[in-house]
Amino acid sequence: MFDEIIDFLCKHAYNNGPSPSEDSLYLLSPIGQEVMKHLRRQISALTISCRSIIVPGFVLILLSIAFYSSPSIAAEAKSENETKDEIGKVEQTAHFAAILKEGDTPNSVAELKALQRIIQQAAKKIIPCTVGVSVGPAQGSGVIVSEDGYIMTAGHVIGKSGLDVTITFPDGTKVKGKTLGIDRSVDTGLIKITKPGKYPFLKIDKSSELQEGQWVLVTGHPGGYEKGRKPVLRMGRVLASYDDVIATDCVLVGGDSGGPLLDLDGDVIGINSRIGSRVSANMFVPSDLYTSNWERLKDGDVWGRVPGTPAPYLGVECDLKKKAPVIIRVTPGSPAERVGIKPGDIITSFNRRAVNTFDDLKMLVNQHSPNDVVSVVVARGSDELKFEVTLKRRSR
Amino acid sequence: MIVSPRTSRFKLFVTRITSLAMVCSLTLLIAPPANAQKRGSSSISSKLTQLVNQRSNIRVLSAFIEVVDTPSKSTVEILRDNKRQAIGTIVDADGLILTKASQVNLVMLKGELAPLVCKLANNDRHEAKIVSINKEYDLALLKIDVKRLDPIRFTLQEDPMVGAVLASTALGDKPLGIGVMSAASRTIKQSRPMIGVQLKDIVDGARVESIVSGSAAKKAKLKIGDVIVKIDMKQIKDTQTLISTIKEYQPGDIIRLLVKRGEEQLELLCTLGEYSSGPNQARHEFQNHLGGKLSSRRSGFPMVFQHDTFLNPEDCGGPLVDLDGNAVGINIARAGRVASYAIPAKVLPELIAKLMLDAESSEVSTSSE
Repeated sequence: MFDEIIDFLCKHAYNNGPSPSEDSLYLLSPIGQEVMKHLRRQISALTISCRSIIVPGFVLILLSIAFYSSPSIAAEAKSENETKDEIGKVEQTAHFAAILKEGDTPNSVAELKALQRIIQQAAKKIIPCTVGVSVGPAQGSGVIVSEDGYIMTAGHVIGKSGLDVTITFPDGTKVKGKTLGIDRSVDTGLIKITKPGKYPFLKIDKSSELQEGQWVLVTGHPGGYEKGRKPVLRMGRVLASYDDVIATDCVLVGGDSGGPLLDLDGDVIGINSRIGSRVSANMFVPSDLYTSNWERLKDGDVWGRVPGTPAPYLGVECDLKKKAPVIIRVTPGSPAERVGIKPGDIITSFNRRAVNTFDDLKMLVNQHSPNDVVSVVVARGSDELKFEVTLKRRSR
Repeated sequence: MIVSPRTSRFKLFVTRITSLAMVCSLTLLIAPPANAQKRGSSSISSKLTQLVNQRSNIRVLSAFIEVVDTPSKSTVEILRDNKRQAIGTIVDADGLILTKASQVNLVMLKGELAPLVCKLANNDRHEAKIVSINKEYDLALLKIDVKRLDPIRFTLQEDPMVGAVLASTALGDKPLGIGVMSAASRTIKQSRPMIGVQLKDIVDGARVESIVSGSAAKKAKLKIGDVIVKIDMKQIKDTQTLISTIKEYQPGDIIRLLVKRGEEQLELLCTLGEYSSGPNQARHEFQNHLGGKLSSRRSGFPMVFQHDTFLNPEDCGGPLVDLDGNAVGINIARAGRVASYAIPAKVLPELIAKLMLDAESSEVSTSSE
C-alpha cells in the first residue's frame, strides 16, 4: 500500500501521469482508498480556493516520501554500487583496520557504513549458532562451537554435571543435550548435544588478545527463548579485559546468560555471565578459560567456588615435615572421617587429579564448594583405596 | 540468574576484584606464568565509569553528525512546564507532529494542566494540541500552528537488516543515542495491567488489605483500609468487578479512583503498571529495570522492531534513522535494559493517514456542534 500511495502521488501530485481509474483504487486496502479520497478532496478544495502555494499538510507528508523516492529510484540502483565500492575502499584503509583491530573510533559516515557491513555479515553467521538452553525451570542461552554439538554456556545456567538439557535453535526446533563440566569460580560451563548430527558452529578466538575499546557483539535470549523472536543482537565495546573477566557495554539481562560475546569476525571471545546496575556493567567469561580447561570441562568435571562463598573442608591434617601428604590426624565428624579415611593414609589423588604435596591438596579442596562429591584415592600400606567424599562447610 | 538482585554495583566490583586476586594467586600456585597480569591494573569499576571507550562516547557520536543533520530538523522536543516529556517527529509541513501518546496525554484531577510546547530545531517554541490518538500503537498526533516545517523522510526499504547501525535523533547536531538493529519486527503481546493491591470484599466495595511496594497503587498514594468505590465511571461492588474492570485497561493507562477513606471520599489518579507474577518474573523485571527507567506503556504493540539504543522514557516518540539519514521507524518504548522498540516505517504511512483522518473527523464533529 505504501508503494501504491507513492505511485499515486508521483503521478498526480506532479501531474505527469494519468488519473488512476476506479479499478486501480480497489487494489488498495480500505484505508488506502480513504487516503486517496481524502487527498482528492484536499487537492480539489485547494484548487477552488486557489491557495496552491500552501499545499495541505496531508499531501506534503506523503509527498516528502514520494519526493524522496521517485527521482531516486533509478539513482539508487546506481548509488548502491557506488556506496559498495566506497565501503570497499574504506575497508582497505589503515584507519579502518585500526577500528576493527584496536577499537579505534569511526569518524566518517563511510567508516560507519563499512563497520555496519561487517556487523551485518557477522550477525548472519552468529545468529544460527546461538541457542536457548533450558535445564529444568532455568533458562539461559548458549553457543555451538563444534560441528558435533559442543555448546559453551555459563556455569550458573547448568548448575550440575550430567543433567538433561533442552537446546532450542533460533527456528524453534529442539534437541536434547547433557550438561558437562563447570568451573564455578569463573562461571564456565559446557554442554554436549546428544543427538548425533552436523550443527552450525562458531570458531573460538583468544580472549587474551582483546583490546580495550574493541568493537564487539553479543547475542542471546533476553528473558528466555521467545517464539517468533530470533536471538537478539547487541553491539558495544570492550571496557576492561582481564584473565578472568571481560566487561563491555553490550547490554545484558537475565536469560542472556551463556550466550556468546563475539568479535567482528563472529568468533566467540567470551560468554555472557552477569551484570551490575549500570548499563555499562556487563560481565563475560573470557573464552580462554574454556579452551585452557577444555578436557576437564568435556569430562564433566565440576570445580571452583563462586567468589565470596565459604570454602569446604575435607578434615585431614598432614605431616608437614614430609613432602607427600601423609595424614597424621582426621578431624572427628569431618567428611574424611565419615568415609573412613585414617591417619597414616597417603592421599595420592583428589577428584582424578594427582596430589603430590599437602599444598596440592589444599588448593584442590579450595577449588570446590560444600556438598560437592569428590573421589579421593589414598595409599594404605600396599593397598590403594578409593572413597567418594561429600565435602562439607566447616562448622565454626 | 545473571546477578542476585541485592548485589549492589559496589559489592559486585569488590567481589570481582577479590576473585581476580584469587585467580591470579591460583595461577601462580599451579604454574607461574610468564605474565600473570598482563594488562593495566586500574580497577574494573573505574574502567566501567570511564567514558573514553564506551560505544556512545562523544567521539563516536560525532561520526553521526552528517547522518542526523537532515532528520534532526524534523525532530522536536515536547515539553510541559519546561520539562521534556517526549521527542516528536514532524510528519507534515503544516505543523503535524507524531509522538508517544502516553508520554503527553495526561489527565489532572484539579486545576489546569500546563500546555504542551514543541521546541523546534531552530529553538522556536509553539504551543501544541493533541488532535488524535492511536491507542494500539500509543501514538499521538499533535498540531502546532506553524507552516513550512521539514517533515521526516521515511525509508522505502523493508525493516533494516539485523546489525544495521541506527541513530535516534535529537535537536542538537549529535544523535540522542546510537545502537544496532537487534531483532526483526514482531507483535509484542499485551501484558496485563496491574494496580498492585490485595483486596477484601466488604458490604459496599473492595477494601485495600495490602499494597505491593513500588506498584501503581503505591505511587497513587492509595492506603491500606481505603475502600475503592469507583474506577472512572464504573461502580465497584466487589473485588471481582474491580479485577474485571482493571483488565479492560492497558498498562500505562491513567485511571481515576474514587476512594472512601474513613468518612472522607477522595479522588486519586493512578497510572497502571505491568503485571508480574512469581519470583522468577519479578527477578527478571528487577534486572530489566537496572540501568534506567522504562516506559510505563511498553507492551501490546501490533508491530515493532527491537534495537539496543539506550533511551529514557522521555526519549521516545522521535525518529530512528539509518546511516543515510532516512527514518526507519519511530521510537515508541523503552521496554527493558536491553530493548528499545520502534514502529517500523513500513506501517507508519497508513497509521499517520489514519491519525490525520481521525483528527479531521473530530474537528468536523466539534465544529458542527
